[in-house]
Amino acid sequence: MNIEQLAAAVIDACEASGVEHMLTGAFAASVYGVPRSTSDVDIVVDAVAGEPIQRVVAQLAPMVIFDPQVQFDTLTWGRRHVGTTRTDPPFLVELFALFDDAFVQHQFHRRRRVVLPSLGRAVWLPRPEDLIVQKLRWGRGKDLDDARDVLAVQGLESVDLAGVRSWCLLHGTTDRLEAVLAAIPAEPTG
Amino acid sequence: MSGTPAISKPAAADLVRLQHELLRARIDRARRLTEDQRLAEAFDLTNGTLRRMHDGAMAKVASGDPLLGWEEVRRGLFRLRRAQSVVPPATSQSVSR
Repeated sequence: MNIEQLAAAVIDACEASGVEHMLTGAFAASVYGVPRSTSDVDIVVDAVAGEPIQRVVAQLAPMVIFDPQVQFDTLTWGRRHVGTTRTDPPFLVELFALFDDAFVQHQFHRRRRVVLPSLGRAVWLPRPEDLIVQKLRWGRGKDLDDARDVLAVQGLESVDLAGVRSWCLLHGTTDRLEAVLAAIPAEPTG
Repeated sequence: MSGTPAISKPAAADLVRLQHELLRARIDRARRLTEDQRLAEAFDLTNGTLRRMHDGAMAKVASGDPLLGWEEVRRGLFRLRRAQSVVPPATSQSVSR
């Protein structure tokens, strides 16, 4: 199985289960920024716990083994269901349960649907500004690189920077935002 | 005398300039692609990286059994994910929480 087949299967499992969802992580960052490799498919699902998420897990069971232990992640502050593909290569699937956080709810409820021929289907994605805020909040090295790349590729003239700044102020990540803005190399002049 | 010679300031400045040029080139290239082309490239990079990791693992385990190679890749990915989960603290004050 290749990664696009897995990503398509995860999206299809959510749709078949009637669970609202949004592709996030490296693939969302690649849609808006500089393409990069990853080893996992990350998806946010509108299911606090229990039955809806179990329907997705059951749909994926022929190809993914999920850890029965749900992880509570201090980085994302949410519950994560993590699975590994049954066949090689060993890709991960991470189902992030939507939870009661102002930004997480805001990001999910204004997600956009995009037709992506390379996946052969329409996909729900966060808006680029929300992906930047999320990446700055998570704050790992690769997240900050993703935030910088999305800002640079989308262009500061196109991004709602005021909106990004207001969330960063709430999250205490303004210094991270300023650092990634400073790290964008200037466009050549002339 | 032993040890690594210190990098002179002009050399360090050249290195930073080179890093900026490389990053600028990657950004400019990505801007010329559509959203779907960027996603397709991420898929290709991911599949290619896993194949190369497997090639490297096969050399490391010195076996003809591809399953042993994938086991080594799994161990490598586990170590990589653990290393990538380290987060520096946010340095500015949050107005909430």
